Amino acid sequence: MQSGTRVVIDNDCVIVHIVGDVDIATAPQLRSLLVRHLDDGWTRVVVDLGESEFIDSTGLGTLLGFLRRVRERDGLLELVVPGDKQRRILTACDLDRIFTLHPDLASARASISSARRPEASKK
Amino acid sequence: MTAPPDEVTLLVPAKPDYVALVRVVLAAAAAIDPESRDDRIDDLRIAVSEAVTNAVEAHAAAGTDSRIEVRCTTIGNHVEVSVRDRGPGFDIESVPIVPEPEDPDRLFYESGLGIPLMRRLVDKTDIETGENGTLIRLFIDTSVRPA
Repeated sequence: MQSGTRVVIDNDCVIVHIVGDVDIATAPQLRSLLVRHLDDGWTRVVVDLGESEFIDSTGLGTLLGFLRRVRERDGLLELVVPGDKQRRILTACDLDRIFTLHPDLASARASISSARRPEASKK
Repeated sequence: MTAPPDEVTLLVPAKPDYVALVRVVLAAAAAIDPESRDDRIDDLRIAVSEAVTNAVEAHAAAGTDSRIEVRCTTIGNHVEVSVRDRGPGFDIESVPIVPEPEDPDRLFYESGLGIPLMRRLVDKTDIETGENGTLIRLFIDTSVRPA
C-alpha cells in the first residue's frame, strides 16, 4: 500500500497532496507533517485529497485536530475533495459542515488568495 | 437446496499496518457477487477499517499480542463481517456524544467518530462488549443503493 504526501509551497500557502491511504497506520505521519509546517509559520494550508485512495475516521480526526490548531493561529485550512467517495465520508460525519470543501485545487487557491491576512501572520 | 454461505476468516496481528490488508481482503470478498455496488463496497471498506482499528486500539490498551479474528460471511450480496478482539471491552453508554458541527467544541473531538460512522454506513451494527473483549458485527446488502 503506497501512502504518503507531496508538499508544494505556493507563494503564501502550503499545499499538501495526500497520496494513498490515511488510517491508523499513516495518520500519525500526516499529523506530524501538518503540524511541522504550521509551527514553521505556514498558517494557510490546502490539503488535497484528490490522490487519496482511502480515508477513515482516524484520518478525518487528524484533519479536524489540525483545523483546530490552524484556527487557533487565525489561519486557513481548505480541503480539495474532488471525488464522491471522499465527500461521502465527510458528509457521513457531518464534517462537510465544518471544513471548507473545494472540487479542485484552483478553487482552494482562489479562496485562500481572496482571504484577508491577519496582521501578525508571518506567511 | 440453499447453497451454504461463503466464508473468509483472517487471524490478524493487532498492529496498525495490518488494517489496510484486512479491508482490502474483506472488500474483495464482499465484491464477488456481480450485483454488488461499488459505493456499498466502499461503505463496507470504511466500516471494516473502523471496526479493526477499534480492535487494534483495544489490544494495545490491554497489552495483549493475541490476534484479531475477522470473519466475512456472504450469501449472494448479503454480507456479514465480524471483528472479535480480546481487549478490555468498553461501556457503550459511555461513548461520548459528539457535539453538532456548529459547536466550537466539535473541533476537540478528534476521536470517537468510528462507531457512529460504522452505524451510518452499513445496514446494521451489533456490538457485544465485556471484560473478555468486543465483538462487532456489520451487516450490509451490497446490492442496495446507500441511504
